[in-house]
Amino acid sequence: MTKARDLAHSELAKLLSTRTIRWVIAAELVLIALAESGAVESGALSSTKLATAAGMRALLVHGGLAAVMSLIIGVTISAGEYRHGTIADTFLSTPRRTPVLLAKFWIAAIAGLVAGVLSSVAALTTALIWYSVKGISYGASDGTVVRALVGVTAWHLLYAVIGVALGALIRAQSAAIVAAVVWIFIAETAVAGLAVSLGRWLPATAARGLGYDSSNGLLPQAGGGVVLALWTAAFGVGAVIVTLRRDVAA
Amino acid sequence: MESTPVRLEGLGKCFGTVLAVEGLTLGIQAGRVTALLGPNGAGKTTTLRMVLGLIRPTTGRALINGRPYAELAAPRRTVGVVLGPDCFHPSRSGRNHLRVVARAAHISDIRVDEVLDLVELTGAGRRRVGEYSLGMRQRLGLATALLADPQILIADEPANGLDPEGIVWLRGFLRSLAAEGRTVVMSSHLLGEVARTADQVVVISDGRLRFNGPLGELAGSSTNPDPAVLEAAFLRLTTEVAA
Repeated sequence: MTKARDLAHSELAKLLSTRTIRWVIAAELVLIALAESGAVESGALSSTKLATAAGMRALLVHGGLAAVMSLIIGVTISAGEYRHGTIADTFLSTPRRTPVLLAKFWIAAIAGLVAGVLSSVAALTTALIWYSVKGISYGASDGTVVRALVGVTAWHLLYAVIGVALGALIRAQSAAIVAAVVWIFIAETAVAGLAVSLGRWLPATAARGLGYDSSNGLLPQAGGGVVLALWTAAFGVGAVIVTLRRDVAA
Repeated sequence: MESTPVRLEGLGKCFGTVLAVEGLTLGIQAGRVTALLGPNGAGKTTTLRMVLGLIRPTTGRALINGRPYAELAAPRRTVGVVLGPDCFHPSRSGRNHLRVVARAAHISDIRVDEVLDLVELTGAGRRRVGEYSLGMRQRLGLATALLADPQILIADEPANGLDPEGIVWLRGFLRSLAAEGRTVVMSSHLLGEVARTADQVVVISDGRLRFNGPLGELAGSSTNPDPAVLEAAFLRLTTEVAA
């Protein structure tokens, strides 16, 4: 039987032997810098607000909003195999499919962690540059920055794992990415708008709580983390069930 | 007594209301090249994928060395599989594709270079698969199948896309594997090539077994098989069903 370590090495080799992850992470970092800069330059976050903890949180949460790119990394880890037909080779090496998915979740978590750390660095660096440019002083002694960056990193990690599950469920890579983007940026916002009390329990809104967003109506950070982790587990279990029952016909 | 490493016992598959394969029962012997023949949509690929555990049978079972594929202790070391030329990530190099498979099967990188050499792709190993010709991708598929030096080789249309020189090379290669006592199963549309390569022929049409026997019974002679006779027999077997 294939050992878990061999499987993880194989999945890591897949991830690192194409350029996708490098380009997606690079795009993620550029997006964070642009989004933060836009928020400051447009006046959406005034100098007065930026001087407060809430302002700092509102700025740093942009590092988490880019986690949709980490979700895309996760989708390519699973749906990419169906797209290119390499899933058959994967299941020929390891016919018991649950360990394959577990290895993909594990590698996606590592990729999400790396993307999350880099995104946190990008978010903080961009923030510090703008604080310097605007001449704003902010005392970080209350741990706000650390909590926000830890939340952003965990957000990326969990989204990457959800991406693997989503890709395994939908299989069509482009459809999985479109479904995720539409849900996160349109559908969930609409549902949250219609039923505010329900909205904060949904995955993308719970993720904002985890990211220490200062908006009203969100779950507290720990609560957001737990809820998003439960969503991740639910998606993961669904992906395993569907994958075990699915024929690889082409 | 002859060894029969691959056995199909009442193997069948329905996709919804479509009956793709119905009640296939046969054994495939070691030391021979067995050709799986049938028109498009006959159920050849579905049958091979059921043998490999990629498709779940609706009825019956397929056994390799007495076990379903999923229960083999070392599947890659037992069965090598050529899936076709479109089962590679185009942005990954040929060598990296083999390394990915080797990692999962706990095979060293030394063997990766050996099989690249075996299929004469050493010079192209670091190029992206998207830049490969169809024939090169077929060779890469063969290299993947041979990574773990398996006793059984299952190849889905391995001659597709090969130039005449490649086909001659493939024929000699498959014959040499069978001569070593290995089990070789290939599906093919190329009847002339089957006449030159196979010892045993299995004909499937509309998902049902139409013939299973020595090549000589269909091609007129086992020592000097005639492709025209094989073609006539094939068409008779498959059109009888259609009619």
